[in-house]
Amino acid sequence: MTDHGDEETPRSAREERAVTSAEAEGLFGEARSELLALSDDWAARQAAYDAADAGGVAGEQRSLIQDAARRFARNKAAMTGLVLVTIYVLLAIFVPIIQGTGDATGIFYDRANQGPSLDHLFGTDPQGKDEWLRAWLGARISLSIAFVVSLVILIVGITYGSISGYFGGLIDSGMMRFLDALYGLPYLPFAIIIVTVLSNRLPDAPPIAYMVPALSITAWFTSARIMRGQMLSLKENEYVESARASGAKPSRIVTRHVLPNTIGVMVVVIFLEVPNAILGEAFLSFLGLGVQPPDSSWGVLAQNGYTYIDAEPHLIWVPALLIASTVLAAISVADGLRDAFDPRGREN
Amino acid sequence: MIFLASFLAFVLVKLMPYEPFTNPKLAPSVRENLRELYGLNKPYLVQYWDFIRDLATGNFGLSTKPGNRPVREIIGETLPTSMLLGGLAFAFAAIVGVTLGVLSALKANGIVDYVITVFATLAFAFPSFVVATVWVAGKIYFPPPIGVVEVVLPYGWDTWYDRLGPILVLGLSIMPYFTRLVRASMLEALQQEYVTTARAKGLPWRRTVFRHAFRNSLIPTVTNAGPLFAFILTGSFIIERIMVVPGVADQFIESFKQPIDSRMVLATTVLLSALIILLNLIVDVVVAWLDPRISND
Repeated sequence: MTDHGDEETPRSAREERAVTSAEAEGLFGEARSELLALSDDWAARQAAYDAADAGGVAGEQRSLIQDAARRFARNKAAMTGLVLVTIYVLLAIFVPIIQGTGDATGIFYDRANQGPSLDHLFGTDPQGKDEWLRAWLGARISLSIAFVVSLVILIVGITYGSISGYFGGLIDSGMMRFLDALYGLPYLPFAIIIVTVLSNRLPDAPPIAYMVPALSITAWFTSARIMRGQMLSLKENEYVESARASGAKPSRIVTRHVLPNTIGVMVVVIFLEVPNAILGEAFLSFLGLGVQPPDSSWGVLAQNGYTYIDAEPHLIWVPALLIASTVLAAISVADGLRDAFDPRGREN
Repeated sequence: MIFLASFLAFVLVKLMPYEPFTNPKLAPSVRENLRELYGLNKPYLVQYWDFIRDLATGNFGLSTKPGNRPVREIIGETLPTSMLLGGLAFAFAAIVGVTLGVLSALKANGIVDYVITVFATLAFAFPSFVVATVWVAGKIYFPPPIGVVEVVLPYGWDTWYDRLGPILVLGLSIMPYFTRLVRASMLEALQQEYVTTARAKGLPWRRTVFRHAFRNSLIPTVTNAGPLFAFILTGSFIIERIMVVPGVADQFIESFKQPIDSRMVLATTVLLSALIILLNLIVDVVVAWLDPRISND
């Protein structure tokens, strides 16, 4: 990236680097950058063919993502799931803003232990806190933990899986052995230990700061395996070979040529991890080891509901239904995305 | 792998703000003696070596909870309960789950299939603590009818009547795993040519299904059983806690109450890891026995 002053037309970063490395080598500079441009063209055409092929439509040129979005929109279960998750996210954002958080932090004994009513849609708990407000305050924590955990898992999985799958050979088998070893360990005891360590070390941190590491350190293996599998199959493609032949570095090949083709898988991985993360958060908080009151999360609410099960049966149903519906929604979105990105994958 | 588990557990536990003898009434000299008794004044590497040596000899040291009982004794009391709970729940889930999976594959896309799929999905989506709570609540509202004179808690592990709840709830949480896998692999097996061949040579449908399709459909179910054991373990943490089963998972969570009982945590984590690793090994052996092609890789 040093000498690009004499370029008259703006070039892509890819070509710039090609020029740099070619000039360093002196000979065949022209030929190499030409070949590179050609391979770019090939990659683009390949992608276009793939998209057209996946859609079963010849001639019309649509991107992979547009195509997938169309198929996804036709899937009723998946759309319902997506709409539900969106509604939950919106409620989590706006309910506490509109209503203020006073009803969830104060103590109102004059209206304790009420069942669901128009004033308090989900009823109140033994301290008179508004369960509707607490549910959406909890959703903020539960959902953000779930999405951040999924993202972290995805990023770690991409990095680990790409390195392992791209280099293959000894590196691959070594990294996969290590993964197998970790995979065999029971994750919950370790998650509990990590959460305890972090929450004691960082007593003032928000719950997300210790829940995310605990839940993602113990759950990235599957995504690393999936990404490795993708890498193994995609790196055999001609456009990867041509990029390699024209001297692109491994990091460049992976980020520019292989990863864009795994976008579908990535999105699916995210939505597959969301249910696990939500359940994991709920498990830990329910055991009293995760999010701690007065912070509210769905796990905390469930714990509360369990404590008052004999007097206040509605308190357990609020978090239970929220958790279950979110899990179901995320699963159906993941299924829908998988079908949308890979229509051939579903035979029966 | 057990070494890896023990190492990870050790490092993590040492990171915990762990100081069991914080009682201000303790004289400094007494505290020092206690720390020496528990080996806490040694360097970490020496402590780790002691810990590994203790593991090898099956001696886990003393608990730092009141009573200072040997950790080995506590685990010896609680582990059988957990194994019984896990084993019976596994058996229940396997029998019911596989049956439902086969049924829904045979009636694919029919009403039976639909009902089973919805049931399995709901069983997966509702976390086991909700089911457990509902079960406990159910026992509060509908107490056991006959022959009970003393006060009965809605949970516990003393009679088989009490045990039914935890086993069913834990079994229910792992059942969808079997149902989904068996259904998918059964559907695939039914489309294979050997099923057509078996039918063509005049084998009755029932015999074809059970001798040919069903046997082969079990292989993927067993092969993918790895995460299952960890899943059972996760479930038993919750269920032992809610339904007051005196198992090892319940003890484990108990040992996290301040001051943290690090020996108990260490010993339990390593033991549970060893158990899961062992079970996975057994799965590998069973798979090789079921499907000789796999071991030829």
